[in-house]
Amino acid sequence: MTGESHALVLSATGLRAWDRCERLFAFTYIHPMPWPGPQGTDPQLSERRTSLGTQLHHLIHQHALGLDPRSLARTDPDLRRWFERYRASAYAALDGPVHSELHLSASVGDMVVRATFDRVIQRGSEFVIVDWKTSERLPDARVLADDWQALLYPFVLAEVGSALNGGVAIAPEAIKMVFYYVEHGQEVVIQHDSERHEGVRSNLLRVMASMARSGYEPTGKQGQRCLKPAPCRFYSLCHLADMRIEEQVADDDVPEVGPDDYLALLPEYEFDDEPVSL
Amino acid sequence: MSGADGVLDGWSTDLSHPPRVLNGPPGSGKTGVLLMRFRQLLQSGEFPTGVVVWVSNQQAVQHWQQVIRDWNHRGVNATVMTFRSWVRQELMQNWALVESSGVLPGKPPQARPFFIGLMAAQHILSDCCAEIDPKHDVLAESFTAPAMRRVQVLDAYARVIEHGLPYDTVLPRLNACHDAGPQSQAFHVYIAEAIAAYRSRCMTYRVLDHALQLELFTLALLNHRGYLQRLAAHTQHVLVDDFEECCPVALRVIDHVSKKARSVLVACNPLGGLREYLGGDPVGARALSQGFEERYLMISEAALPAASLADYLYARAVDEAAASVNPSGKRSILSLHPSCVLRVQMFDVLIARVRALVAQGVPSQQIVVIAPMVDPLLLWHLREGLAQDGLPLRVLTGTNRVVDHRPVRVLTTLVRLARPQWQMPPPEADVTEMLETLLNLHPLESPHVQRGVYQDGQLNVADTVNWPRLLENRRASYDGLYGWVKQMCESEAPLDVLLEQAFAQVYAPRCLLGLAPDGVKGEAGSLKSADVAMDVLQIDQLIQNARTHRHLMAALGEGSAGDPKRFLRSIYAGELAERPLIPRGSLPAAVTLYTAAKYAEEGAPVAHQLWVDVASPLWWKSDIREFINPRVLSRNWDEGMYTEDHDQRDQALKLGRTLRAIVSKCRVGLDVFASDHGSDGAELSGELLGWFAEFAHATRAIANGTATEVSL
Repeated sequence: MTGESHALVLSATGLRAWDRCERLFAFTYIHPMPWPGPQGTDPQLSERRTSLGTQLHHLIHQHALGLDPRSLARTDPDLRRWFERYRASAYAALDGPVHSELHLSASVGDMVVRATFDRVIQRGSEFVIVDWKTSERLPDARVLADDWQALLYPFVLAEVGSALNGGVAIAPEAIKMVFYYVEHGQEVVIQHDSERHEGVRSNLLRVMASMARSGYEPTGKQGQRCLKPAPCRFYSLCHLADMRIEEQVADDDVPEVGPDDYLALLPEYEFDDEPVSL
Repeated sequence: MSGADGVLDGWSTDLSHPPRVLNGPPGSGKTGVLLMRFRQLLQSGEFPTGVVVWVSNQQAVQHWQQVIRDWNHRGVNATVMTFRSWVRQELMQNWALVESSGVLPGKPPQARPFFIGLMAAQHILSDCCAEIDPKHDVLAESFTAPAMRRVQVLDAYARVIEHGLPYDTVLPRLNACHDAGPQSQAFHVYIAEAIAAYRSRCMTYRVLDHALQLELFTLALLNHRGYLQRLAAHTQHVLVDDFEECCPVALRVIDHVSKKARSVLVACNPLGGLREYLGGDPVGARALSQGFEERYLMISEAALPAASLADYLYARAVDEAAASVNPSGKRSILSLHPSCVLRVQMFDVLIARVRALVAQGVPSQQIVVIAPMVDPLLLWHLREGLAQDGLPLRVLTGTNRVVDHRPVRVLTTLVRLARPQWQMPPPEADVTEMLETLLNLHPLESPHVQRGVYQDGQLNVADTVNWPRLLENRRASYDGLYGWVKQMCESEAPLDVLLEQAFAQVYAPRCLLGLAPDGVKGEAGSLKSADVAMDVLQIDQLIQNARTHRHLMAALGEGSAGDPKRFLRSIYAGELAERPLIPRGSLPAAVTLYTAAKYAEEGAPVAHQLWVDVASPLWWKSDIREFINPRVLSRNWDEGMYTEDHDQRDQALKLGRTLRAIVSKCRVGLDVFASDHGSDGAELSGELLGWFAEFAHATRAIANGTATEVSL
C-alpha cells in the first residue's frame, strides 16, 4: 500500500512458472490475480489425482511421526497400492534422524527460496532428500535432473541445513535427491555436488536479474506452452483478443435504422379509444 | 518509540511455568514485543519448529510472515498460525490416532477429515432440519419474514457449534432468556433434534466444523499420552497474541503446554478484544493467568496517539469512568464539522476536506473514510467527487452479497439455461440482464430481445424470432450464445466447471474484451479497472464455493455431483458474502472507505480519519440478533437470566472497544461529519455526535467558524 518492497519468496513451482511464461509468473506471484480457468484437460481427473497425492503425503507424514496409518490407506485402491510401495521402499525406515515435511528457506541476493521437503534422512554423513511422486509416467532422468526441484532442494539444504547437522554446514557432495515413484516402485537418484551447487546459485541469480528486467510479457513460445502440458489458467485472459467472437460485426456493418426501428422496440400498450379530456 | 520498548531486557531463553502475560490496549505494542521475543529466541539458536506462534486471524499470520521475511530469515521455517489452523494441522497429522481412538462412529475410517466452516455447517444443519420436517427448509425460506427468526435461531446454534459450546446446556438457557411459550419450546426441541442429526452425520462422514475439530482434538488427542509427550517434546516455546480471544480449548492447550514448555508468553488486552464476542473466552483467559500478577508486564497507554479521546469514547460507551486517562505526548486534532441538512451535502463537505488534506501534502493512502453502509448513489457521488482530483476510492466493506454483482447473476443465469433438467429456469428479469450484458444491448433494447428469445424457460433459435432490424448486428452474437447454451446442455460438467467455462468462453470474450492486462509491472498490476477486478474476484469466489460445495457433498456420500440446485438457491438467498478486493503489491494512491467494524479489525494506522454520518444509528453495526450473543452462550456466563440491560451493556462494551481500536489508529487528525437526516429522510440524533460535542466542550473547544477543533 505504501510501496514497500519485500523480498520475493520463490519455490520450485514458482521457478517453473517463470520458465514457462513470465506473464504467468507475474499473475501468480507478483500481482496475484483471481482469474477462473480450467484446471487441466480433464479437471475432475486431475482433481482426483491431486487429492490422492495429498492424502498419500499425509499418510507418509503420519508414518514418520510414529503412527500406523495403514487402515487409512485402505480407503482407496490407488492409495493403498502407493502406500504399500512406499513401505516397501528403502526410504520408509525410521531408524536414525528423519525429518518429515520440513520447510527451509535460504536467501540468494534479494530473493528468498523456499523448499518443502517430504523427507530428509541422515545416514551417517550423508543426507538423502526424498520426494514422493504419484505421476503415472516415469520421466526421463536427464530431464528430471534439470528440473527446478532437483536443483533447488539440495541447494537449500546445503545452504541452510546446518540446524539438522549439529550446527555444521552440510557439504553439497553429502546430499542426494531421490524422486520415488510410488506408482512404479522406482526411484530416480540425483547426486548434488559443489559444481552443481554453484551452478544453481548462478541460475538463481540469472533468474533474478531477468526478473528485474522483465516487462512480464507472455513468453510462452508463441502460445505453445499456453496449452501444454496443461492449459494455462490465464489462457482466456491473455488470448481475449484472439477469442473475440467472430460474429460481432464491425461498425460499418451496422444497418442504417430509422425511427420506426426504435418504435418497434417499445413494448406494446393498449390504449383506450376514448380521448382524454384535459 | 512505543511503550513496549525495553520490556524484554534481561530475559533469558528459559522462562518456566506459568505463562508470562503481557497486558496492554490495542496499539500499545504487544505484538511488537512478541516479535522481539521471537527474534530473540531464534538468535539464541532455538530450533524454529520448536517455537509455536498463535495469532488471532489470517491477517496477523501474514503480518508475522512478512516481518520474519523482512528479517531475511534463513533456515528452518517457524510455525505461525491461528489456533484454529494449528488444531486442524494436529488433527491432520495425527488422523490415524483419531480414527483408532474409538471416538468416531464405527464406520470404515476415512483417509482424512473434511474441514468445513460456518456456512457449510449451516447448509448441513438446514438439510437436517428439512429432513426432520420438510416444511422447515430454513435457508431456502430465508427471504420470508417469519423464517428470519428461524434463521436467527439456526444461526445461533451454528455458532454454538462453531465455538465448541455444548448446545444441550445452551438450549435451556435460551428458553429461559426468551419467549419460552410452548411453541418456542417445541421449536427449540425441533432444532435440537436437527443438531443431533447434524452431529451424527458429520461425525460419521468425518466432516468437521470448528466445534467438532475441537471436540475430537480434546477427546482423541489431548487425552492421549503419546500425543501429549510428542507435543511437549516438539513445543519448546509458545507465543500467543490476543490471548483474551482464545477459546476454552485453546486455554486448556496453553495451560498444558505451559507446564512442559520452556517459555510461554501471551499478549492480552485487559479490556477485552474486538472479536471476543465471537466466542472467545476472556474470563477463562484471565482465570488461567490469575495469581501470577507479578509476571504481568503492563505497557503504558501513553504510547497511544489520541489516547484521551479513545478513553473518553470508551468511558462514554460503557457508561463508566475511565480508570485513568493518560494524555498522549503526541498532538492530534479533532475537527467537528457542522451537521449538514442533507446527507449529500455532508458528502460534499467530506470531498472538500479530502481535497484540502491532499493539497496540504497528505498522501491519499494516509486518509481513511469510516462510514456506515453507504447507498450506491452516494458512493458514486463520493467516487466521482474524488475522481475529479484524480483520487481513486477503494471500498473495503466486505459485507455485500456475492449475488449483488451483475456478472455473478449473468453466469448463474447461463448455467440455469444450460441445465434445464434442474428445473430452475431463470426469471425473465435475469435473462434480460444477461442478454443486455452479453449482447451489449441498451437497457431499452434488452427487454424486447428477451421477450422474443426466451419462452418456457428456454432460449429459442434466433430464426424463430421476429428479430428487429435495429438489432440485426446482435443476431450473430446471439447465435453464438445460443450455441454455447445448447452445447453445454449436452455436457455433464459439474456446476463449478460449468461456471468456469461460462466465464472463460462466454463472459470474458464478450465483456472483458479490450481489457488486456496492464503492463503487469505497473501500478495495480491487475486489471485496468478496480470495478472489473472486483467482479472477477466475485466470480472466482462463486466458482471456488461451488467447488467446495461439490466436494462437501461428495464427502457426505451424496455422489460427486451433489445437489447443485441447493447451492444455486443459497446464492440467490444471499448467503454467500462478497470477497473484499484487497489488491496486493504496490497500489495507486487511493482514499479508502471502511465500515467501522472492518477498520477496527483490519485497518492499518493512518494520519487522518474522516468519520462520516456519525449521527446515523447504522454508523456502528450492533448485533441485534439476540440469540447469538456469546455471553448468553458462553460457559462463563453465570449472571442468571440474560436481560435487556445485560444486552445493552454488552453492546456498549463492544462499541467502546471498536471506537478505541479505531481512534488508536489515528496519528494526526480526526474529522467528524454528520447530517441531520438519514437516507429515509427521518431526522437523526445519533449519540456519537453528542459525545463528540460534549468532549469538545469539556476540553474547551475553540470554534474557528467552520469547524470545531480540539487538540488532543
